[in-house]
Amino acid sequence: MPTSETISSPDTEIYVHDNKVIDIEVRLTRGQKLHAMEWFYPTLRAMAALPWWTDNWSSGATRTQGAAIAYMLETLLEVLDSQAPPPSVVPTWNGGVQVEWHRNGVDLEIEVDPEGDIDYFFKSPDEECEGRISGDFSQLSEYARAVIES
Amino acid sequence: MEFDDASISDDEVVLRRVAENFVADDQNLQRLRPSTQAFKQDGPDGLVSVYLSSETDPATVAAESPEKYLASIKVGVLRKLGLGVVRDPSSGGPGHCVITGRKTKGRLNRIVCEAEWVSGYAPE
Repeated sequence: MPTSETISSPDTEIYVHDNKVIDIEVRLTRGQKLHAMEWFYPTLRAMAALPWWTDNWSSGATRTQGAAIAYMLETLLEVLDSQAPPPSVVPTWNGGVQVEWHRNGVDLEIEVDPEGDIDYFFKSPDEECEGRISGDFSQLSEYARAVIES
Repeated sequence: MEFDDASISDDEVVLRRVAENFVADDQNLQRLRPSTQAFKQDGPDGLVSVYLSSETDPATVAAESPEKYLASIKVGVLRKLGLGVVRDPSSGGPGHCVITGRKTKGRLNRIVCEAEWVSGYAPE
């Protein structure tokens, strides 16, 4: 029997039917314009193509991965400039999602788990750090700008 | 489970299955490489399955899994990062081992930058 569910967060709403993402609604704020964001649609397509597995890895991953995508979209809308290039998008073992850029001599990874915890890794010729984001996105925004600026 | 098996030499090469959607475009290295998630963990125990290349072959490793690609890395590289490799033949057959230890994102970044695709099992 196919199942349907809607996963909501403050800025996004994802409708999932029979383990497939059917519809994603993003509520824009602060004058954001989706068509001006180079990264948005390629990233969305990559996220929608992620495996919505229900066996082998974590059980119940259909629900949790939808939540992770919602949290990740919120995070990216918060930290990325419009001219940011689309990242590589990969699933995580526990139903989360990771985006990553490796360009301009910089490595940046952002990983979001189904509970909304956000971990990052940043490496440049001058700096290497990793950690968990708790509320303040300013440092992560700075790292994201380094992906664009050489 | 022990942390490391000293009978496995630093020069030994281990093979890791990599799913198609665990590939990242690394413009710094100018090549496709495994995402760090490909080496992070296979489940809640934090372990990562690999195969000793001296005790099995790529075709056998690839045939028993839906994962499309194979990456290789020397055991010595893993040990320099503070990780271990121990045999686990009971769950994965001949040559099966697991990588032990805390896989921080920094360590994983070094692993995937050092890892090489196995000929015939690399993304185009």
